[in-house]
Amino acid sequence: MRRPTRPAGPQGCRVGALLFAVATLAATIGSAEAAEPVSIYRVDPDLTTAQFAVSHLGLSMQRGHFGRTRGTIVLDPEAHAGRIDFIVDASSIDTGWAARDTFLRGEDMFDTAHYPVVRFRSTRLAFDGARLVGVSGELTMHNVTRPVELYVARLDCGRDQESGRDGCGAEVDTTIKRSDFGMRYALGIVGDDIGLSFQVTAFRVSSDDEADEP
Amino acid sequence: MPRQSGAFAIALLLAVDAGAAAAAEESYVTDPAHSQPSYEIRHTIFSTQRGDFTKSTGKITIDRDAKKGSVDVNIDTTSLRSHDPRLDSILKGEDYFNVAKYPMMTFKSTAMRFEGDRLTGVDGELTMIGVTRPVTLKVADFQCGENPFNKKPMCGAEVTTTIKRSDWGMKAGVGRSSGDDVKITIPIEAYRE
Repeated sequence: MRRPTRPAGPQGCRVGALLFAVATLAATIGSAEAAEPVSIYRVDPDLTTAQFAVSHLGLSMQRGHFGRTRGTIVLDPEAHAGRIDFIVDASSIDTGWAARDTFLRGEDMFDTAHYPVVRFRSTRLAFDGARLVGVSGELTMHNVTRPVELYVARLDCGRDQESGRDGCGAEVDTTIKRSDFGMRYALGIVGDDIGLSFQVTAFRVSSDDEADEP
Repeated sequence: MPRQSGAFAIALLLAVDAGAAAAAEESYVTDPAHSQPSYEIRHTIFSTQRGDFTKSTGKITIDRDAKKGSVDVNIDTTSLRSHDPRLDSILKGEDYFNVAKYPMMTFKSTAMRFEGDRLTGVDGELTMIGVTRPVTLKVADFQCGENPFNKKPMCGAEVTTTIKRSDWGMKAGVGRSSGDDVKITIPIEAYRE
């Protein structure tokens, strides 16, 4: 697209002022219309599970989850826009076996003393019509940041009858290679492919609340 | 010479294999840490709850030639974890697992299903909160090998099924706060005895 030529002289100034006024008007109308469709959600840690699955000895799929998560989701389905910021406390890793959890927190795996947080930040949201179907973003884990694509298998929004709050629930999954994040210990015994599966529940908040999170 | 010793090695392997096949029934014990049952259930209109049981024991016998065997699993209901601390006490309480009265959930097989010589399913009875109902477990990726560290022969699999909890009389919250269908997934690692 050609750039508009810079207005020059008194006439250009008037045209510029007019354009500015039109643009401001358009933006005002636009934001008034957009105010409704943009929704901000806060992840409810108690109703959210970040689960992982990995092959062990090539014989079984072992699973665990991270007990502490938080995050913010902004969705504007009409504009096919939004953003997701999801944070996992790496030391909250939980496989139901204390000895294994200690090992996973240790230097050979997550090294949570140095890298306490696993974080996903979206770069682009993909919609099919008004439905969110995928999220491109960057995952930071073990001090390495790599691009990751998340697949949104389910997204239901509505009013929770118990709490009366508006919210959404989603099932999101992807597969990463732990070696891409520098976690190479015992490859071959414990698989490289890590299935990630998130059951996310998030409740709607006002835009004022968004600032303090995360 | 190398060719002859190679042929001898193959003959020996075949003999060992034949020997192993002759001992028809094998017996296995599950490794509880690598065999934790987990569940998944819809909660409210948009959430899914996951949880697991960290303590269980299991015995498996299998006769691949005769295509039969048995599975006997005990799950300690007090080891339930819902991943939501607020929920644990509710789920362990009288309306749900009532763990004070029913500390154990059991599965006993009635038949094993094979496709060719591969185990693909187990029919049996699940006893939960004092009620016994038939259940069919799907068995995927059943395969055997040995632990590279201790060299013990072992088998692994992924076991899944979906039950309706109301069939066992666990009806609290059905149709209101949570679903009736419960998806169960049990990874299995079992060592040969």
